[in-house]
Amino acid sequence: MAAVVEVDEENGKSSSPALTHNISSSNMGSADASNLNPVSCPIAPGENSFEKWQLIHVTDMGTSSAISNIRVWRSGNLGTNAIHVTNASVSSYRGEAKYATPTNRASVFAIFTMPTTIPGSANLGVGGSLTGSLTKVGYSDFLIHQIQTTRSALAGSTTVMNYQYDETA
Amino acid sequence: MMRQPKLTKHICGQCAQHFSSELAYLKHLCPAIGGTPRNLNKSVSPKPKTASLFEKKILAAVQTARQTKRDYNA
Repeated sequence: MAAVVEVDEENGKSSSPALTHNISSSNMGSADASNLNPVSCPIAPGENSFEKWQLIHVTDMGTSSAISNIRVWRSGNLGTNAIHVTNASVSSYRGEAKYATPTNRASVFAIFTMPTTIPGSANLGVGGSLTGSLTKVGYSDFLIHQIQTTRSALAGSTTVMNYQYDETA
Repeated sequence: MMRQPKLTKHICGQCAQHFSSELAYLKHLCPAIGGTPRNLNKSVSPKPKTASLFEKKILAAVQTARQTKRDYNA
């Protein structure tokens, strides 16, 4: 049996967070909320989305021995005058970030451009390391990402987030 | 990495139920996915039960019933 893996998202104050398991969307918006409605939570031109703090969560290893090599990227283009930033990085990964209350100010964690094609190797770590692996139920490091816009940004676009990992039998 | 269980609320992103612990979330039967978060790979719907009604078995049952009735009336 294959491992059971889900994408989770943490929201709320760091002193009393809420972890939404198995999210159904990664919609970015002007609220710190999982599965948010972007129509009712639009990002005003010149503003940023709230940071997303997401995790890869292995809930059952099945008959697998390891989950590793986590790669995250976005497919599709943003509208002009908007950028998508993240803490995920193949070459400059800064290790495991401790959860902090999501903000719509420019993120101090998400400082690299979100890849738009599959990275050549892991860009999100486990236990603070890109070579780390999960050998029992547990979580990856936080994936932090944010949309940042300028005043000239136009109404948005729809893109797809991709989360990929290797599963070792 | 294990999540700190202290004050974290757990919410199922599929059915929106709230839980006080990760274990409670993992054990809940989610109506949106038709199973628990841990058994997505397994079929949770009961297998259809096939009735075993072979003609040979029906005839044998009828013969047994008739013999029992004859024995009772004798």
